[in-house]
Amino acid sequence: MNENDTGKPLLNMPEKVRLIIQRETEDGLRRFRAGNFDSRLESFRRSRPEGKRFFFGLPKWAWIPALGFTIAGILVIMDVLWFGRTRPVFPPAEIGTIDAALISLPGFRTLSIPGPTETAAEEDLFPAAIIVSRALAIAARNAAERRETVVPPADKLVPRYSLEQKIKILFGDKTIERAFSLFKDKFKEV
Amino acid sequence: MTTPDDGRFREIIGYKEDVFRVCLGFSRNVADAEDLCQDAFLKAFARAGDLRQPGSLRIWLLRIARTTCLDHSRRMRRNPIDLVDVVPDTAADPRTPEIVSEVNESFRRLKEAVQSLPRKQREVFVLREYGGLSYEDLARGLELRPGTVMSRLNRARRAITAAMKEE
Repeated sequence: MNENDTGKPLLNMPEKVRLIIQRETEDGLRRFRAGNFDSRLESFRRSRPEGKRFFFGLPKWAWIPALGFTIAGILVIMDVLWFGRTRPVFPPAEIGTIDAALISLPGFRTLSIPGPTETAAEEDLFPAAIIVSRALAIAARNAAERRETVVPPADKLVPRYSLEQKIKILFGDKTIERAFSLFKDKFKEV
Repeated sequence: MTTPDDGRFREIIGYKEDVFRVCLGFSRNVADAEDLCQDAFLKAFARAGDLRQPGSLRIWLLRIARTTCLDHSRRMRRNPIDLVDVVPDTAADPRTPEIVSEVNESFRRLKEAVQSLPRKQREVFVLREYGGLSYEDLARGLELRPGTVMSRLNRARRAITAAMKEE
């Protein structure tokens, strides 16, 4: 009794405590055996026949399907509640007020007041929204153009010419020749 | 005529003393332990279909007893321990009244010490010291690592010993 499963002596468990537990258990068992527990339990069991068990009385194997059905049910309910719902619609008077306020902002003033709608997508939009959508479209176009016009490195941009080609360019073009003649009095080299 | 239910009943009821000892460890007196033992068996009969491994019937029963007792102690937490309820029947004890009184006082102190343990330590202590479960069975029954079982048991024993020394 004073050893654990590995045969080593137990720590911090004085014999006194062990004896108390042993005595308590023996005394309790003596009274328990005298109480005719079996017949009492049998009569209880027969008076409480196993019926269908709902909710928390579910057997363990039924918990996972039950949980799955519960989640599916919640999703169906949410779908029914939200199905066919559209975005909230402002009254026309409020839309006009918001639109006027936006157009009066300094950033909007720099943009032109939109004329007739240019695309089919703009037909349902209000003036302020058209300005914003066009500004965004212009910004996107500019960004795309910047990406396309990337300047190549200098050594690849300037073609390499031979000396003969350079002389032909210099003296073949009359404009360059005339420019050099303007400098001939000032610089000996020219 | 014997039915399969009767056969299962007899198989389960064969562990009644093990279950009773665990209930005694968790409860305050023999009468409470008997009631808890009965509740535990009724639960076990109702859940007999959940038992997947017939070889682990004893551990399964003791686990049901543990749950039943912990649920009960949670409900009874606010009720103070009654000394008269705790002391065992010592009418037939051949020892002197002084010794009997001392033994009864020891019972009371032990009960208080066990009741004051944290739940996790208490369940390991009771299942080991009253139920007689091995470390391996405790680990399997409580779904813990053996090291965790040993450390909890060690802490519980230290606490019990300290509580018994203090008084």
